[in-house]
Amino acid sequence: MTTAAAAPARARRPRTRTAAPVGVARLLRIELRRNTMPWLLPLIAALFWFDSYRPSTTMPALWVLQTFWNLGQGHTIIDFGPFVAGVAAWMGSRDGRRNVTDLATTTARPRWTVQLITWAATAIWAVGGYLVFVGAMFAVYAGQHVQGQPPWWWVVAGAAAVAAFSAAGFAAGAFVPSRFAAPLAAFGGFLALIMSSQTGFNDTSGWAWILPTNSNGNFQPDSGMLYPYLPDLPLARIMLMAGLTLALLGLTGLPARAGGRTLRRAAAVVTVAGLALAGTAIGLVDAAHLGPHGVVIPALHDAANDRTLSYTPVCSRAAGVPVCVNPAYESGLAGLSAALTPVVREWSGLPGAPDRAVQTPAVYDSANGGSGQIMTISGQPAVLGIPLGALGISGAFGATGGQVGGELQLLAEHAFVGAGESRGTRAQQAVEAALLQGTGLPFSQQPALLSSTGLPSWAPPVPDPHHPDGPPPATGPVYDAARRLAALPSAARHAWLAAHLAALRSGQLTLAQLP
Amino acid sequence: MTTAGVRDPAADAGPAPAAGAARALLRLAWLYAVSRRLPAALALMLALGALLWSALHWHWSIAGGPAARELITLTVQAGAAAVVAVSSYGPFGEAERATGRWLPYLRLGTALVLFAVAFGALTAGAAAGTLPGGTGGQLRDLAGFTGLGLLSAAALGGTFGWTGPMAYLIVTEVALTGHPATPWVWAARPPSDRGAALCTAAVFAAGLAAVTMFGGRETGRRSLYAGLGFLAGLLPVGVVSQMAEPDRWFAGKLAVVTGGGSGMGRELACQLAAAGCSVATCDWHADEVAETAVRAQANAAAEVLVTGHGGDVSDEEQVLRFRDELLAQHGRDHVDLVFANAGIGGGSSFVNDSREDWERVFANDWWSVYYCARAFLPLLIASGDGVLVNTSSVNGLWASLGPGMTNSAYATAKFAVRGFTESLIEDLRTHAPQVRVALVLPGHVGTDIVANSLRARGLPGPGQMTGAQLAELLPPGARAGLAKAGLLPENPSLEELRQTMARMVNDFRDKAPLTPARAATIILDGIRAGAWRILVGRDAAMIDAAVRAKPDAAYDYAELFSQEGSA
Repeated sequence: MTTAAAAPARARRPRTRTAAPVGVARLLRIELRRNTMPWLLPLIAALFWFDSYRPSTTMPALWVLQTFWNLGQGHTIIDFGPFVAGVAAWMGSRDGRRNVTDLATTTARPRWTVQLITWAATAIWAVGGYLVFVGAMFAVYAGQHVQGQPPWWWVVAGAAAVAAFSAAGFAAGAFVPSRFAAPLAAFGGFLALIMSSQTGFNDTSGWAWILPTNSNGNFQPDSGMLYPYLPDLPLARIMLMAGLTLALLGLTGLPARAGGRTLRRAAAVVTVAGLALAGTAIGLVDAAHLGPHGVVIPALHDAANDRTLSYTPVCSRAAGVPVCVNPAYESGLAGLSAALTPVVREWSGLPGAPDRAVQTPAVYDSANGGSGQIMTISGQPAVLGIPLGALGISGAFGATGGQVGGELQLLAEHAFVGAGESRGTRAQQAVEAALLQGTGLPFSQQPALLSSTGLPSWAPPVPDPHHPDGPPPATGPVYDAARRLAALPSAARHAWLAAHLAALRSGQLTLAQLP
Repeated sequence: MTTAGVRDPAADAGPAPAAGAARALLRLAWLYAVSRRLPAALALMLALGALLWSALHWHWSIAGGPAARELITLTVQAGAAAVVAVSSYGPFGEAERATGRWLPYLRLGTALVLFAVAFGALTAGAAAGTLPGGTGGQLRDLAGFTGLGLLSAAALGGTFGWTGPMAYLIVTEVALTGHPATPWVWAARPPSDRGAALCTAAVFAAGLAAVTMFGGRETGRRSLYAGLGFLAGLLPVGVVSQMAEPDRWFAGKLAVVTGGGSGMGRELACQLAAAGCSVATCDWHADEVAETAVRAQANAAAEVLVTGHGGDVSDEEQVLRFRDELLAQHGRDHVDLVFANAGIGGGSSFVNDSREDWERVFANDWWSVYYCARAFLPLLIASGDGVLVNTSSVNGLWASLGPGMTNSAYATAKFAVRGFTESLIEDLRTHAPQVRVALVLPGHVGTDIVANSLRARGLPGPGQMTGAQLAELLPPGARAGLAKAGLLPENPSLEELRQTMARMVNDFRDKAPLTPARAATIILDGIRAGAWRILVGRDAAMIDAAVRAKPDAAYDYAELFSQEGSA
């Protein structure tokens, strides 16, 4: 009542240039003080701790792993999104619920302006809360000396998503002013996020990459350590979220009572611009592809981001040859050396045996499992290239040191027999199996390990016509030959390998030619 | 109108006698009900449930697994609980305020009525097979969510009653996707978990108390209640869950589970391990049983050992090797439980299918059970308290799948399993009373048995099948039936046949009325309770009842399933 009565008097008063901004700032301050969002921040904080922070503590101390669940898979957005949408709907429906819409329309400030200020206060609390919580989490990580670089672009993308949820909830509340607007907006937000996650699991390319909780391609195994996080995808998501925010806020300015004609035209322009921005983002992502360092969007891609990060490796000679890795992986160096020790011992004195091992960048393709993680042997003198990749190290996603060690040994032997990215010839398979047995990896465990590494397997779970009931593990001609070779005295096996390795690697040896 | 109608008795009647008070209460309740609140709440609950369910079910019926199906139900439950909380606890208009001292009780009544409606809708959904879970699980989860909603309403204000269920839903989602949050989460626990039931009851009671105690106040010390409300709601869940005595029946025992690479076998292994029981499980898919072992071990206590073994239990030599391996790895000289669960489908027609197919199915489904009994019975006797659990099927009661759908080898084997198991009851009672035997009769459970059966025949996935393979799997009669049902065009292309095959494989798993996890829970509950005959699923119970009631009409389908006179 006071506002309405005072409005005409203020309207006649000559305005100074600073009057409007000062008035807006004052109104914003009032809205910030009376906003409901702060009440929900303790609850969101509890949820954030439980859902975003706590699961990350089970991961090894690498930024890419610590933030994989909360930022990479979007759980921080899931923690904030529904609640922010609900509270924003509550704030957006305030005038409608109180039946004061007409009263508010007659005040000095256009209704749309007032609504935008109310939304801004809600968004400031929400985005501010998000930044504070993420900042606190990052501070904890930093205190724990987590290795690598933080994924800053993904933090910004999350903030944009929180702002978009606040705009969506606010618009819903403004158009449907009811006590049920808040829960409906919250559950609608939750549903949208879950559908986004699930669609992301199915669609591993194209437009689906734009979905805010689609985790495919967000982080690569060595992001922030051997190469930078690519900003292409977060930039596109920021564009989408900003576009949706603009469009939704613009929509609230379209009704007749939102303000004067000029203001409503401005709202229409904002709506169209927002839709155009969101549409552009979706269109850009549709042309994206997964590159070695992450999702590449041609129109947004900066070639400078394709560089690898320089670093001074840390090395160990415990395996018998120097093994060098990125300093971020130093904690895993002992395990890596231990895994390679029996392999190097087996190779000792054989032609083409590497005299050192170095870490190479790893690539993970979510559509094809872990394939592409093969080791290589190249150069003169030979160097073993090891793509470690944070996603496959001991402690990540429950992987044990034994599992990881076995996989490393298998990949090394696979490279040594010259099988490359293929499953190799049957002779190469048999020699690989025999060498693995020599390193202490029993035949019975090899088929399961083969499938877990993503390498093409010669003991696949899908039965072949010779074994319609499903092949028992580690049987068949390949393993028969491998057992024969492994049963030879060590010196005899070594001598045979020295004489035949070149032929084996070139694929000229048959299974029958094995001793 | 409503306002005036409500205000009159309170303002004019003065102090009323007991009968008058009761009449006034009834009148106020009626006015409360016919105001817009209850219809709006019911409509919203219906709309919300339909929206969430249809969207999620449509989406996840393609891609989802058991966890996704659980989440569908939990999302609907949380939404219903939010509507109950928001509807029964402010903000209120003149009509409700005019009820004066009766307002808290009206709120309580509203909460209970809406809760009953939501529970009825959920159980109807479960009965119709559109939602997973039994009545007990539905009641527990909905009560828990509603209790949290009412506590949130009391703490933050009526309209924020949705925040509790929403927060809990997100926490539950974390647990369902496999992160280490299970001690807190009742909804992700088996229905038989007494600790979870206790938590739920406590939270529900606290919510009802809150709505009654604070029900008369429009404003209060919300700054105080805000934190306390959530602590009151969430802390008991964790604390009581941790304090509740864990299920000790299986603890410390060693169980053998065959067919542990997927489906019920995998779930049995996981639930047994979670209950403190060491498990040795085998499957002819070595990598899948290894994954089962990893999953089961992840949720097990430190003293529990889970081992996965590759092997074909239709080959006695491999069964014996499995036995020797597991005894060596677990360092035991006996086993306490044997779940002969492995099985495949196929060999449908004795007339048309190859003898090789027929005998392979029979061997997998019958000889595997027989060899396991031979191999493990001495070890069960050595246990002193052993249980042999043989999985038959609803096709061990009824040798058909319906008109035109033959099931010869499978049904023959499952009848054999049933006969063998029932014959062991007296045999063991007489000669080895320290061992008991149980017969499991599952109906349609969402397992990978169809896909596994195709793999066992050496067939590739549906997407890679040749025309000849598809012609064998979908003979003209079956195609005609599918075309009649609108599932296949009249003259389907190769790709359409592949898609139909893929859909059949996926639908068997994803659109089953019962998840493997629920089935495993039912089986373990039955074992714990000492049952010798465990029917798994409503369809199994229905067919069992129908065949018993009308044995002569067992294969006269119209008569068997006619309502008149059926059990």
